[in-house]
Amino acid sequence: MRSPSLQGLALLALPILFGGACGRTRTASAAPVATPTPPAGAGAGPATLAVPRVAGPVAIDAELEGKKVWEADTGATRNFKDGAGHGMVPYTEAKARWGGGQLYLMLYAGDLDLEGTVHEHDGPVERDDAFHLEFGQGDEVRVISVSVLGTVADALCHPSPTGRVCDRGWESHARVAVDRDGTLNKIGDNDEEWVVEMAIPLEALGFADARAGTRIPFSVRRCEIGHGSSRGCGGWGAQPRGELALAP
Amino acid sequence: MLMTSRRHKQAIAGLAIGIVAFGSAAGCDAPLGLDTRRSALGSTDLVISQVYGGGGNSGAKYKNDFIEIFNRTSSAISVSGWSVQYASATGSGWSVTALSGTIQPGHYYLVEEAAGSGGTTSLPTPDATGTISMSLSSGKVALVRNTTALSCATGCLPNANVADFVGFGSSADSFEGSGPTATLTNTTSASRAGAGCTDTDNNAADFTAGTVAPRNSASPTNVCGGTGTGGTTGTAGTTGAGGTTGAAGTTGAAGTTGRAGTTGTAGTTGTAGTTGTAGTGGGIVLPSPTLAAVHVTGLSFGIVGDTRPASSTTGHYPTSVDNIINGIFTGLQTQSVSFVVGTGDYAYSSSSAGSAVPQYDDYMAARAKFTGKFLPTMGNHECNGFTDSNCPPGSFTGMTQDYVNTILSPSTGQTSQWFSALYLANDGSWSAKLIFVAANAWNTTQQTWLQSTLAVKTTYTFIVRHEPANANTAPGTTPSESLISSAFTAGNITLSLTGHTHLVQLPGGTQPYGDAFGSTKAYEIIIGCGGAPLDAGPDYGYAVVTRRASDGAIVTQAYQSADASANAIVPNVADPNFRFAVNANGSSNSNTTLP
Repeated sequence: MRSPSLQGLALLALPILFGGACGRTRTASAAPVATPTPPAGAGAGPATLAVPRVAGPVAIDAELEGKKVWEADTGATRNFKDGAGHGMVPYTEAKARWGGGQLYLMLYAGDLDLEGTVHEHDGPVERDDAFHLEFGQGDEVRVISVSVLGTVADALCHPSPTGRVCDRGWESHARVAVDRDGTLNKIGDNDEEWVVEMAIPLEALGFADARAGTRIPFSVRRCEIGHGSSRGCGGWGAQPRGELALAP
Repeated sequence: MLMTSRRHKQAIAGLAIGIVAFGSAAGCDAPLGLDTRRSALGSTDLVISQVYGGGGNSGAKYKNDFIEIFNRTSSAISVSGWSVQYASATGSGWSVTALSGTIQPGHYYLVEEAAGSGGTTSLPTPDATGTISMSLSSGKVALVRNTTALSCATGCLPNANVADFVGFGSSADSFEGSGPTATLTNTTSASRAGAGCTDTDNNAADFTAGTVAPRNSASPTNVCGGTGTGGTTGTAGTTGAGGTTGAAGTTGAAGTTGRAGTTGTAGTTGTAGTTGTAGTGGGIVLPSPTLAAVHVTGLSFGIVGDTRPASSTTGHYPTSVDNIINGIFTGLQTQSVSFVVGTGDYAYSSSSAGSAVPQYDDYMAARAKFTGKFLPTMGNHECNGFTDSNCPPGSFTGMTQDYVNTILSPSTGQTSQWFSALYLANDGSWSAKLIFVAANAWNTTQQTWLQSTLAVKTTYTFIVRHEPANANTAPGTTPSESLISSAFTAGNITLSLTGHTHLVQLPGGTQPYGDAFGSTKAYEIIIGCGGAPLDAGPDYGYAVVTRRASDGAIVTQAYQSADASANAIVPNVADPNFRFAVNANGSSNSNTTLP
């Protein structure tokens, strides 16, 4: 059964570190600089997702049936790849749109057994079925995780000699809705899938002046959790870091 | 809808009385000549179908003796005021058990008699109960139209009040025809051939001694077939099978395949043949809605699972899904299958009219690559996509109507979301019915239809339903599963074919690619890998079900037609992790050799 749930904005962010590393907390710094689109035929580079522009705002309600904005197959990662480069099972994909200062994402996760228990904002959503999004690269990476419950954990991360240091005080101000087709935490009753629809202010990602041609370093990853542990992961744009290319 | 060829025994009561008188005078040596004339007496075609006197004895399974009656006609018959009676092999003292109620056509009626101190199992719920202690080996049993005790020892027939008579065991001194049945034991009963259909008025020929298997009024219906003669007349078949085709009726050949067809002698009326349906079905008539029976040499068909794309796509199929479903039907065209069944979910769409049509059209375009027949069942995405959705007649969404108009009706000629299909061997050696259950179009009409359809006996029975048993949020899953499970217990289900979950799963919940999430039903498999987002397993593909002629086993083999990235696998590869065999009654068969 589907049970859409709309999660509100993060209200409280705790300074917890991603990756288990210890260190100081930091806050977001200046926005990254947009990079130009390389000429066609420039050779192998990062995976690029051409992100269609939408004319008006997209309602974030995870009610996707008949929603025209997601119909086209453009701006889609197609099925994520697993570690061996094969199509991920269960099937997982992402679609992106932009417009009105927002980046819109639709994240699809085939899933036999929806598992999620973490409701606390910035909580350990990696324990649950969740997507992990990364924007930017190098010195400053904005990380947003969103779970099957719609729980968001977001942070601004920097490299350090001891590993990545992340500040969960940073807020993405993402608006998230989740549509679940199955029953939570009930193994054996053949769930089908869950879908995230979300909007992220481009300003929060450091792209306040985003325009057609702006390229945003981006990757997305999903690990399927079964019986409390990871059964397999897949992603798009991890290595080298992919790009969202905002289309006119 | 029951269409049987009824035998009509003429009533010559006056003559019968005279013969009784002669019979009584002639004594023990005379019954043969007299009893063979019993068929000249009035008869209702209620017959004694099984007799067992070893109940409760040492080594017996059942605790009670019993007499089983069967209605081999196409009409309900009241037995109120009737009786079954028993006398010893040479005795003339008859014990009486009164009967009551009505026996529906094709149904059994179980009369429980005395219990012994042995046995481990109670009889099925009896329809009447008596206290007669019967001989385990020899005796006489009569079905009588009143409750007045008979008084004969020999020469009990003809008697206008005796509807049927069985002398069992070699020492029985009265019987129909040339002799009594074989002598029985504590572990054998005398059963009428054709599961009760065969009646040539010869106990020696009509009965065999074998496994004790009592049947009551709740047992599956056994429709006696038309006779060979009746089948050949099937020219009127244009009116049969719902009047949709009738063409099969013109062959009439199937009349010889029916159970009763083997008896031949009953073929005097041809009544069933004139309707055509009986002719095509060899006496097997499935309740409407059902497709016209099809005659085939062998049984082999494909299964295509869920095809709908991820929810992100609501227009035409994305390229990946289009590639997969085209590859599947192209692959099926290379297989020697006569038809293909679909397990549901052909599109992902809103439920408004017209929204699903682009994907339904894509599906049918791919389906056209297979030139055989396609028989779809309905999934939750043919209602509104929610797993608990329900779209029976009167509650259609636009998507449901689009499914009926675009896929179901063009493929089958049916507009009902639930229907059955009957396949019959050309040589009459087997029959197979496929029952397409729509758990997302559930109502009492479908439930009644399913119950009736399951009650019709065929060699093989396949269920095609979208949801596996444990996907019970669909409104029809649990109630249909209850009926199917009971039928399986009775040995009347071969295999249940489902989808919904996007993977392949073997009987008993064995998932060859990861954890078992699905049903543990021994008779259920999941083929859900027709292009919908994979939940488990490395590949998209289909399966092929084939009857192995050498032993009648059903072998199912899955084939891979595209990898998880939707890259085509050419030619399709047999999945080494998915092949199994079952017998007609659904039990496992360890020999998985492909035919």
